[in-house]
This record gives sequence, C-alpha cells and structure tokens, in this order.
Amino acid sequence: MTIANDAVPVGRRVARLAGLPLAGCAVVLLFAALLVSLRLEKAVGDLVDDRVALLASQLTEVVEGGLRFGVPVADQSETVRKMRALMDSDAELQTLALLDDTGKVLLVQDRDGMVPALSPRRVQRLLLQPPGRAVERYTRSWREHSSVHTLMQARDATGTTGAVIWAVYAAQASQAVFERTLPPLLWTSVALLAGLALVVTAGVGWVVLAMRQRLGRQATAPFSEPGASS
Amino acid sequence: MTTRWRLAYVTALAGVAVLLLAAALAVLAGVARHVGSPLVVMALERNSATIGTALRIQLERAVSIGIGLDQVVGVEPVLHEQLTRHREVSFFALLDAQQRWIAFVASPRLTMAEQASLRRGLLQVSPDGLTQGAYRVARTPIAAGPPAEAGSPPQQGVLLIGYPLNYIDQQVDALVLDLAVAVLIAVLLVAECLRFAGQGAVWREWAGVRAFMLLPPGEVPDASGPKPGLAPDQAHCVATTRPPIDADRRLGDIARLRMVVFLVALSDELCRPFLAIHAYHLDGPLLLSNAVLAGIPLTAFLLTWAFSQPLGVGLLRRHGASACLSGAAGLTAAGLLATMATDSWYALIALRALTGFGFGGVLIFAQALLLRLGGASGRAQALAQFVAAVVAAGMCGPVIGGLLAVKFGAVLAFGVAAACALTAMFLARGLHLVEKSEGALVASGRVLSMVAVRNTVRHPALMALMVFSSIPGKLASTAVLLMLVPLYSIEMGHSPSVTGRLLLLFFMGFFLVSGVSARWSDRWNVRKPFIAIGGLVSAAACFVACALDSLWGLCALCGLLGLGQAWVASPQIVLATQLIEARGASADGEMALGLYRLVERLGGALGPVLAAALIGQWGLRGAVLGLGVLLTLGCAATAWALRHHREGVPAAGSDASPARAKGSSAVEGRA
Repeated sequence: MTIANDAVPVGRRVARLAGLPLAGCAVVLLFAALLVSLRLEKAVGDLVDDRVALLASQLTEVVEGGLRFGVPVADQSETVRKMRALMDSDAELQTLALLDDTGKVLLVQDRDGMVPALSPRRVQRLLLQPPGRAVERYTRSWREHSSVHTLMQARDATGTTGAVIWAVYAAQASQAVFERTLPPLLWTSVALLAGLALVVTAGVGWVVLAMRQRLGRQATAPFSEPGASS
Repeated sequence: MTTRWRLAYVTALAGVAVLLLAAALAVLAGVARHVGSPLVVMALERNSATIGTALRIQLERAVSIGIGLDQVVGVEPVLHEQLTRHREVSFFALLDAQQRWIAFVASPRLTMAEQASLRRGLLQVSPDGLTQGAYRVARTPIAAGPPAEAGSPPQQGVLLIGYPLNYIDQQVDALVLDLAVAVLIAVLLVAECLRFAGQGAVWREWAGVRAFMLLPPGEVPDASGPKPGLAPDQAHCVATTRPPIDADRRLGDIARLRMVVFLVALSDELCRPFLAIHAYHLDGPLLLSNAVLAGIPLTAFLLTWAFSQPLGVGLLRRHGASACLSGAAGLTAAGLLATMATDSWYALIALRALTGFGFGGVLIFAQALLLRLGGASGRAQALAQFVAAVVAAGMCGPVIGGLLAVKFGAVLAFGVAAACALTAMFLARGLHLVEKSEGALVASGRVLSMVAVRNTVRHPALMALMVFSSIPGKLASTAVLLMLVPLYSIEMGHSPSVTGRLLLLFFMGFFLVSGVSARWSDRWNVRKPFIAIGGLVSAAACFVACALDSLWGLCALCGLLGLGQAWVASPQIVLATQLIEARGASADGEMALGLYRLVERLGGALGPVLAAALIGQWGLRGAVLGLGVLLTLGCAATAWALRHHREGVPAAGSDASPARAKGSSAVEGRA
C-alpha cells in the first residue's frame, strides 16, 4: 500500500488531508446555521399564524352569532363594526373579508386599497368541507409572497357553512427573523470553521511530518533489516 | 513511536476534532438563542396582547350589561379553551378590582409549586406588567360600565396572561434534532461526493495515512497503491471476480453508476415533502377531496415506475447502457422542468407519470448493470451500492427539499431536482465500459420477452419468493411509512416534523445494515438466512410497536423495520436472479429482475390500500399487529417454499452449485 509520495510538497499534502474533514465540518455548520435560522423563523411564524387565526375567529364568532339567529350574512350590521375594530386593533392585519356561501366577497376591509387576489377554488374547497368536530372551525392557512392568508368557515345553527372569513396578515415579522438570524449565524460558522481549520491542520501536519520522518529513515535503512517485508 | 501510540494519538486528535465540532454547534445554538430570543419574545408579547383583547371584549360585554366580573359564568372553561389553543401561553389569571382571585388557569406543564408561587407573586403586578420568575406577565384591564367622573369607565378587574421568557429554550429538543440532522446530511453528502469525486488525490492521501498508522515498526511500505476513488467495499465486490486490468474501469463505472442513482433518487426525494401539498393546490376537479387530489399524481408516478421495470431491461439491451441511462435521467429532468411551469393538475398527473417512467428506468437500468458489474459472487455488494445510494438520497433529499420549498417555493425546488437529474444525465453518458461489453445483446434485445414472463410465472420458487417475501415486505414498508406511522404519530399528538424524523429512523436503519448484510451474504454465498432474519426482524418491529404503544414503539417500528428490510434487500434480489438463471439456457435473469421489480412495486402500491382497510377494521394498533402477522406468515411460507433450494458456502470468489455457476456465468458472459 502506498503510504506517501515524497514528490508532493508537505503543504499540498496537508491541505489535501485537512480538506476532507474541513469540507465535512463546513457542510455541517452551513446546514446547522440554515436549520437553526429556519427553526427560529418557524417559532415566530407559528406565533403569527396563531395570532391571525385568533383575529379571524373573533370575526367568525360575530358572524356565527348572527347566523344562529337566522340573520343572513348580508344583513348583519355588527360585522362591519367588528371588522373595523379588528383592523384598528392590529396594524399588521392587511385585509379582512367576508365571503358568502357561494364564495362571493360581501364585505372587505383593507389597509392600503390593495386587496390580494383569492382563488375561488380555495374558497369553494373550504365551503365543501364537511362539518368536523363541533369545537374546531375548519381553517386553512397558507403563505403567499410576504403575507399569511387564513380562511375560516362560519357555520349556522345546523352546522352548514354560511360564510367564509378571509384574513390577510403581514408576515414580515417571521421573515425578518430569518434575515436577522442567518447572517450572524453564518459569520459565527465561518469563525468556528477557521478555528477548526487551525486545529485540524495542526493535527494533520503532525501526521504528515511523522510519515516523512519515518519514510526518510526507511529509505536509508538496508533492505535486509529484520522486519522488512513487502 | 509504536503503532499503538500512533493510533492512540490520531484517535485522540480525531476525538478532539469531533469535540470541537460539537462545541462549535453548541456555540452556534447559543448565538441563535441570543439573536432569536428577543424576536420570539416580541412575537409572544403581541400574541398575548391579541388574546387579552379578545378575552377583554367578552368580559366587558358581560360587565356592561350589569353582570359583576365575579358572577360571570364559564370563565374558567373559556380560559382553559384558550390555553389549549394557544400553547405559548403558560397561564391566565383574572382578578377583580380589589385584587381578589376570580380565576386562575395554568398549563399542565407548570407544577403545583410553580402555580402556588405564581399566585403569590401575581398580586404585585404593576400596571405595565411584570416579569414573574421565568414568566412575563401581560396585564389587560377590564373596564366597563357607566363612565366615572374622570370620563373613563371604572376598572372592574384585570386579566393577566403569562408566557415563558424561555419559550425559545422549549424548542431546544427540536433544535438538537435539527443539528443532528445537519450532521447526518453533511456526512452523507460528503461521503457520496467523495465516492465519486474522490477518485483523485484526497482519497489516496487518506488511504496512505491509514496504512501508515497501521504499519508495524520497521516494515517497508508496499508500492502498489489502493484503487483510486472507491471505498474498500466497492473494491472488494469486484476484486475477486474480475481480471485486474478491467478492475479500475469497472470500479469507475460502479462509482459513476452509484452517483447517477444517487442524483436521480435525490431529484425525486427533493420533491417528496411538498409534492402532495403542491398537487392539491392545483386546478383539479372540485368533487375530489384534497387527499385524492394529492394521491392521484403520486399513484401515477408509482404505476409508471412499476411498469418501467420489465420494459427497462429490454430497452437496456436494445439501446445500451449510456443511451438508456442518460435518456431515462433526461426524461426525469424534462418531467421536473415541465412541472415547474405547469399549474394544471391534469398536466401534473401526466408529468408525474413521465417522471416516474424515467425514474423507474434509471433504477432498473442501474440494477441490471450493477448485476453485470458485480459478477457472480459480488452481486449483493454491487446491489448494496445501489441500495445505499437510494437510501442516502432518501435521507438527504426530503430535508433539503423541504428547506428549499419553505424558503424559495416549490418551483425552485423542482428546478433544483431537475438540475440533479440533468447532472445524472451527463454523468451517465460516460459509462463506456459497460457500453462496449454488451455489444452482442444490443443487437438482439427485445423490449419485453414473453419467454421471460412465462419462465417467471412458472417458477414456483421464484413465485414463492415474490408472493411470500418481497410483496409482504414492500407492502409493510409502504403501509408503515406512508400511512401507519404518520397517522399513529398524529393520533398521539405529535407534529408532522416528529413524523418526519421517525421515518428517518427507517432509512438510517436501512443505511447502516444493508451494506453489511450484502457483504456477508456474498462472503458466505447464502441468501435464505438473510431473508429469514430480515423477515423476522420486520415482523418483530410490528409486535414491539404494538407492545409499547407509544412514541418509543413508533421509533422501534421504523428503526427495526428499516433494519429488517436492510437484511432482506440485496440477498432477496440476488436470490431471485439466481433462481431464474438456474432454470437453464432459456432463463433470463435481467428480464426476471424487471418482472420481479414490477410485481414488488405493485405490492408496494397495495400497502396504503391494505393499511387503510386494516385501520378501518381494527384501528391503528390492530393494523400494525396485522402487518406483523402477515410478515411472520410470509417468512414461514418463504422458508417452507425454498426448503429445497440449496445454497453452498464456497470460498470467496467461487460458486457452490452447478446451477448457480451456470447462471453466474451467463451474467458474466453478458458483462
């Protein structure tokens, strides 16, 4: 088995040998930085989802209250007041809309006059969902561009879906977490990798020098020396 | 310095490096906590304010119609419900204007002593809220009724909402798992890249260091170097069966084939975490449920994959390895590229079918080629290269694909998957050794041989192997991985991320053992005991899961099933080809392999259906138990059906039985 080729300079040999563990460490640190940043983003994102669902459920309760007394969605006056109150209560709530049981938008409150497009299929799918457990409303959340969208069913006294609440919430907060945590984590990774590189290179350098010394001795030793073999 | 001291020194160095890496990861986690904690606390603060407002409105409504705060009925159930919905909240407390307790509801995570301590401390709440031990308390005044002299209504009470300041630390388990996954993925990716790209200097240098460490004092090193580029197991699998002149090229081809398989499998695995969600967001028929919308494209993929298996071998003979492999990888890439552009559900089905055909083609071509390259006694190890590449891709792909989809969207993730398939296509064009050696077969190849089909169907031992061992194994794997573990885990209240990590245990078990089982199977030239052990371990996995009936049970189910299937995988396919080749001159091992894979894949497609039926009949636990019984019966039936099939224990590199020798030589001749 070839142990070492003396034609290769020590520096190049050390770089080759140290490159392998350091490449592994670099990939580990890179993935770790990415995964940890995403974990933090997810932690904040879950809290944002929770908040938007809570806001939507407050409007849903008002709409369901009206539906249970037989008041059609279009005739509910309290709904508009509640929508305004909710919009005022949270500056990041961008759009709040009430859709009827055919998916048509009845009422919209929005902050900047730019109501995002909503796929009618998404609403129709939600309307088609059968009643689930009584305590849980059927809700669908998704992220689009920089917003969290939540659709929530509002049911009447018979359990039939009478309306759908649509809330759009700015998700910059959770995205900012990723953007704010990743750079320091990457820089930390680079610094840690530099430290690891020093230690690994020193260790590998010792091994290479020991090999060269050993081979140097062997080159000058007679082949008849006891213990020499192929 | 003696060998022992050298080894001890290098081991210590390696240990220090590992410790340093662990310390680096801990530092990274610490920095993440430091940077992320204020952002998380800010989000918690806003959630508490929103929850407080929602509850305040309800309470004020009651107070405004004249009901005293202490007379409001149902406060505690409402607070309990909110506590269940908002897991980030640790407790709710409601006090009246005289600081008397009306309600206190705390999360079950808090001990009684903690709750008592909190109740004492909460009475000194300042108007701006306070930090009470490890909790931050948000204060929401309840004010309703006729306006007082100053103009604002009098305060009727106060609602306190507590959330943990160390909320981010509660995610530490998930964080540790993330870091472990990062290490695992890094090791697998670097290892796979090195197997292919490390044919040059780096691998040789490390082999040299290893040799130096093990060299006894005074011994002269050997001048003949290690074979470049491949791990020792790869080298072993051909070294005993091939002339040394061909060995280097063959090793290079095995490494290239493994990389092609890895890249194509990675292209599929990258899409796995988000494909189902992507499918039901597309424009499909409204009558179909979300699950069906997601399932039909997946089924189309599985079916074309299955049907590509028998066709693949014929295509390989007609058009050659390089053309077939690059064509199939190209089909996969084209399917994925087109998927990037489509927003039609029907188009997605067609494209998944196309991708499935390409993907299945690459897999069957690679298996057939590895069987040729592996020779007579190295087949299981050659196939283990294939299995290891697929499993490594299965471990890395979903995590990376999930990351890409979350951060950059499904379109970019499809693009990365297509790039992997395209790279595989270009790599496949360099398989010259295999291409040249199959000249005779290229001219006379047929796409599907009816003789092979007849031979397969009429072969009782092969049919028994398929029906009693392959199909139950594949069926149990798909049922467990696609249906039972996800559903069981969710029923226990765990999140989908926990399910993903449970499934990772299957692949880890598989990855750890498949190479060992293949090596031992080839060394002893026996397959039946491995199939029996694998079947029994797989069955035991189901029984252990039923007995434990907890998260640990699911861990055991995934891990042990992975181990069991790893024992079976390579020996089973080698036994199948040996059985068909033992029939004589008309036997066609590669075509049988294609048919065998077809039947196996169709069995796999039945897994979710059977699981659904078993769950409907006996529930989740009963379904797992049923699969255990099925695997046990299958194992017993396989042993009984193959009792007359004799296996020898020859010296390495030679075959024991004349039949096998004949079959082996047939494969040797093709390669």
